[in-house]
Amino acid sequence: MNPDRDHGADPSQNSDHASIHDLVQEILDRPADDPRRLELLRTVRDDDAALHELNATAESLYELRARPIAPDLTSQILDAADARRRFLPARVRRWVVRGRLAAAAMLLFALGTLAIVERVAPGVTDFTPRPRTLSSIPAAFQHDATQSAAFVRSGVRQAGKALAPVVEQPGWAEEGTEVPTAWVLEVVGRDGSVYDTVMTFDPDARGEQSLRVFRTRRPEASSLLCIPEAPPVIAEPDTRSLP
Amino acid sequence: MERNAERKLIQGATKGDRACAEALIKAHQQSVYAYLLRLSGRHDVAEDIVQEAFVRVLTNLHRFDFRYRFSTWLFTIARRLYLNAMAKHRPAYDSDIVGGAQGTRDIPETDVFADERQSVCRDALQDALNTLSTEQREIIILFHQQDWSISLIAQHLDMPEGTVKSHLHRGRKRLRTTLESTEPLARMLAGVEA
Repeated sequence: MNPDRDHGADPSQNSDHASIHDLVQEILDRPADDPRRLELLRTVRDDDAALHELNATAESLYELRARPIAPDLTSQILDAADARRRFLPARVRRWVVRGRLAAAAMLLFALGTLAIVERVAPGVTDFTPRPRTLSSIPAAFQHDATQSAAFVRSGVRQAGKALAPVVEQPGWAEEGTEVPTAWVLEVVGRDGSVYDTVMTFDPDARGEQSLRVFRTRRPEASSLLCIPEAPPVIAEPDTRSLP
Repeated sequence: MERNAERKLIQGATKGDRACAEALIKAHQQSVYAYLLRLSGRHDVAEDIVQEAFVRVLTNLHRFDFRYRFSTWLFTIARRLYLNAMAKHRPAYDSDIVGGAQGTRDIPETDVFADERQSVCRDALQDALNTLSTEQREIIILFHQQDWSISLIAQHLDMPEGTVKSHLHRGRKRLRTTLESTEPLARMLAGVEA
């Protein structure tokens, strides 16, 4: 070993006190094409200790530069990326972005409108049911009843229209024909027009003597129709033509 | 890869060009895989993180700042994912696990290839690397494997350059000492087997 180099192998004045270790580290810290590195290498070529440390360290790092064979993950990566954010042409992506922005703007606009309406007329946008006062109950009941009746009437009219053609030849029902209880009856004239809708529960029990029960000839007609004896006037049915 | 060519690929991939994205992956997957493999010591961890890092990069390409290097960005994301994975499950440096984790990937599993894959993690260098601290290991890999400059590593790790150098010197010293101490044992074992 050259004793002169033990205390400072660097020819420059600043590195007079640098140790071998520091010198080796400096060499290793520099890129291979750095002129300063070459200069430092020249200074340690006669220093056994420095050379040993340099060689040993370089050898231990040599294997690190060998790149392992990496598996090709391209297709997995592309599929995963595509699933997360589609590869779309710029024009399509612009439309997607615009669509999202428009939806967001509409939502904001709706919320803003609601806020303004609420400010102008507080409570208007409150859709939660409120407790009613006692005096409002009869009115509400009447309203509900009217709505229910209208609903039933409309349903029966529909049914009556469907059944109208089957009463072309109505006749008196045989005495004792059973009238079902809780029956919704449509008053149907011979021309098939609907006169009225009545609800009956048990005509006999309630003394509805004016009602006569007709049966239709058609086997597929499953219901009975009740026609009042009094007006609306309908043609006298031919009882003998019926069974 | 030349920066202009890389820039074009990034712009293409941002516009939805799948071929550009593919070229970007092919250009960088080898280096980021090597970095992660040395960092973690496990093939399965390296593969998972490479995949996830690329997916994140590709789905956020529109945010890429062209003043920086693409590889630096990719490595930063990969590093963050690795640290997160480390925090969740501290990886066991077990080459047997690595060997057992093969077979489901879309790569040719020839004997030579499988041997190579296993030997990477069984080599003495990996064992020696695993004795270093995470910072020392990472700095040594970036500097000596990826040829990053000290200033770039300092920027990447958000550390002063002096600290990076200090970690690099200590890590190298420790690496050499560990390898020197294991070599005679390895030679002796080789002699006994022979």
